[in-house]
Amino acid sequence: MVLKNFINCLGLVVLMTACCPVRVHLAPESPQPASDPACLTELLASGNYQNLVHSFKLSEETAVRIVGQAEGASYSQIPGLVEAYLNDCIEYFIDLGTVCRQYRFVWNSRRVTGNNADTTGVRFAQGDPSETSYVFEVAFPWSTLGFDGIPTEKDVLRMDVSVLDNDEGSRDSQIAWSGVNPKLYQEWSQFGDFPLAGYRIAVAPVIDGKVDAVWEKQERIPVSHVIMGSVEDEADLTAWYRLLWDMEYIYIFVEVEDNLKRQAAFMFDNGRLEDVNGNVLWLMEFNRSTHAGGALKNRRQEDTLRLAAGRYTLYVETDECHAPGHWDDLPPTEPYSGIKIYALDR
Amino acid sequence: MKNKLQVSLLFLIALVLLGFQLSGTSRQVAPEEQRAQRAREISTDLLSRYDSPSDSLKRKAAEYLLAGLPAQWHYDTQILEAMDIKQMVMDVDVIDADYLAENIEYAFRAWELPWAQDVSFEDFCRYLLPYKMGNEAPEHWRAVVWDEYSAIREAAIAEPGIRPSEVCRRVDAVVNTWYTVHYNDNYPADAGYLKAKEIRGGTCKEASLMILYPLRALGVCANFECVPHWGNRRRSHAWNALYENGQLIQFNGPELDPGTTKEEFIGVGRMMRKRPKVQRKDYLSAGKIDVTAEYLPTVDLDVLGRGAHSGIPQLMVFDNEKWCSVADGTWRGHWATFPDVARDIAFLPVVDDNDFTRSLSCPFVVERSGRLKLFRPHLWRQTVRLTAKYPEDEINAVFPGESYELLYWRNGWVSLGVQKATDSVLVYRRVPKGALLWLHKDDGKKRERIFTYENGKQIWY
Repeated sequence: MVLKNFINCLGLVVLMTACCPVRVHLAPESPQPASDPACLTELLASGNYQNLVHSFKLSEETAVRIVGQAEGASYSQIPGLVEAYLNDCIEYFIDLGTVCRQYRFVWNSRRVTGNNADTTGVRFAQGDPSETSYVFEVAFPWSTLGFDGIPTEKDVLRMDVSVLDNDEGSRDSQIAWSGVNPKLYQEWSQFGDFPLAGYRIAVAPVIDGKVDAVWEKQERIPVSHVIMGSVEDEADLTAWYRLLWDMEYIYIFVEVEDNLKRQAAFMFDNGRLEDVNGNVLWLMEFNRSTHAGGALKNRRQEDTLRLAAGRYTLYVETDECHAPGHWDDLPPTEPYSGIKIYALDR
Repeated sequence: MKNKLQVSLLFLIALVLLGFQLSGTSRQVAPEEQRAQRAREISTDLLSRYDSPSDSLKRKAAEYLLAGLPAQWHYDTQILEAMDIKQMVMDVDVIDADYLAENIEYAFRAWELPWAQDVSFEDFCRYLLPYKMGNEAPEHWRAVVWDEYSAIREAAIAEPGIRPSEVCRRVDAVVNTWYTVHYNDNYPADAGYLKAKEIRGGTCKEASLMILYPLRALGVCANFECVPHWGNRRRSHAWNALYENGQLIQFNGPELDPGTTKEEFIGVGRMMRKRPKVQRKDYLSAGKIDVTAEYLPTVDLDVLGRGAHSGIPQLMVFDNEKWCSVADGTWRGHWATFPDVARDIAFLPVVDDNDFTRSLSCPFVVERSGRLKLFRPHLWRQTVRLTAKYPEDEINAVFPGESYELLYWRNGWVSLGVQKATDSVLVYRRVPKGALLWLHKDDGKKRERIFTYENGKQIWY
């Protein structure tokens, strides 16, 4: 009998431990910041990696001023926080044997990026012939590209031209002249051959982002392989390039048809207000925000809303850095991340 | 007579061979003894230079370097570059007390710079004092770097209240003129500063190591940080961090300055990269320390050994095709303990015992809230409708005409069958509820992620 009970107990213990083989010990959370007595209500982050929710009720219709502060950036403001390839941009790849260079030119930016992108002596200009098109004209010195010797008509370049499209905040599609998949930046074998014969010029084009006479005579080569995402139609994304050379430079002229010319911009921390049915009444958006003081990425958005009586919910989310207690650059003038709501009628 | 001669000759050859063997054996043993002897000589010589009471701090610094010295190693660069062979060399064989003393002198000069005044002796030893940053060959870099960055140093000294992050930005700007961060052309070993000046480029790992030389020489407590493996995708990553007013600030030297970098963000609409573990290179502590808790909300985990209480307990994350170890645990009785584990990442705890690896439990995730979620296949079944094998782009959607295999985890991957898709949705019936799933396509491409199926949706991990 005793043995039977013992076996039963043992079985129970084994069963319990088998049911719960993992124990979790939580570290204490950061304390919430002190509340602002002037606020009708608020939801403030106390650190990184937070997902906060706060519900409140209004007993009568109320006009409110809603103020959100969060971290956000656009490529033109803080290039490091928004990768260049997430913008509308063109890329030129060339492999002259010793080194492969990738150059990326972002629409509306003077910054040149890319793998091994030596920019010594590289000259470029952007043009915007219409609301739905842009061009880049670039002159690359042979020496900068790593060409060891004197270029001749017999030489054949291993190269590619690619165009990336951003229509809704991030990269949507990418096309290439020779490349066949998005690993083009790593797989040089995707580059195509471009024989130099017939493309030499005596008079160099003016690098001004315009199609001058020297370019007019040259054939436009389509950049037509869709290597990432999907292209809806010709208006969404179409591109051509032209190439010329002389003893000093390779000249590239890339034309892009793009009905939505964009630079990437993101909020890294997020905030929103929802009504009881889950309708979003207010949302932190980079393009509606202004500088909040301190580091450029500190964003502030203020709006006035009239809220009917009822229940509402605030949501605040912080990412891996730059929240209270973890500022990695100058904090905003009012040093908080989150949402404050002030009543205007009271 | 002839036979006698032959026997004598053979005997002589045997003696010679035996002699060679003995001398060979003695050569194998001798280096260890010689190395220990050499370490003692370096120690005696170095410490004797700091006998004066006014040098007590330098003596402590010397002791710190000496304590870590026996574990320091590198690859012979000449053999590496000439023959592409990695031959390990212990640092103690190639450096001397003069080398360490010079290093100590320059480190103290860096510590005296105005923006380093708040650095404690402990942080000084850990971040400013080491003569190397990783497993690179020791170089005489201190004087070179001190002179090379003198303009930045002098200008910064003239600006009262300048912050270490600002010094870092200026160093980044200078290094950016000659160094390029890229994805390829790796040097096959850790490179010191002088070697980096020859190579002029490297991956995130190589760049993050290289930038420490000028920064530490200028009194900035900068670190090399890395994830041994992402928690929800392939590959690893390295970046830098520095301390300012007690706060940890990330950057990607020399490319992205403090305050202008995100390590996890890769664009809107794509899965954030998650860090299951963050490690910092360290001169002591077997070369690395676990700093995950400085970055992320973490939990401490205990996993029942299920009969095992020896062997190395490990936490694994999924690598798009296999489980990969990211952390070793320790045994506390019958429980394997794993401190400072990141939340919101799917882990599989295993034990590696005599080259045999077995799982200690089903995979699990600790959600952001701290709630434990075990991916244990239930007896109850469900029908799942799958639209993708990877969450980030259309290339990895389900395509009609292509064959897919759905697997679930129960002490190993168990197949639920291969199906040829007739639509952009694959339907599998009688799939165990609660199980961790993996939709595999045998096309050699590894953009596949594990997921669960909840409320009619694929939840990716």
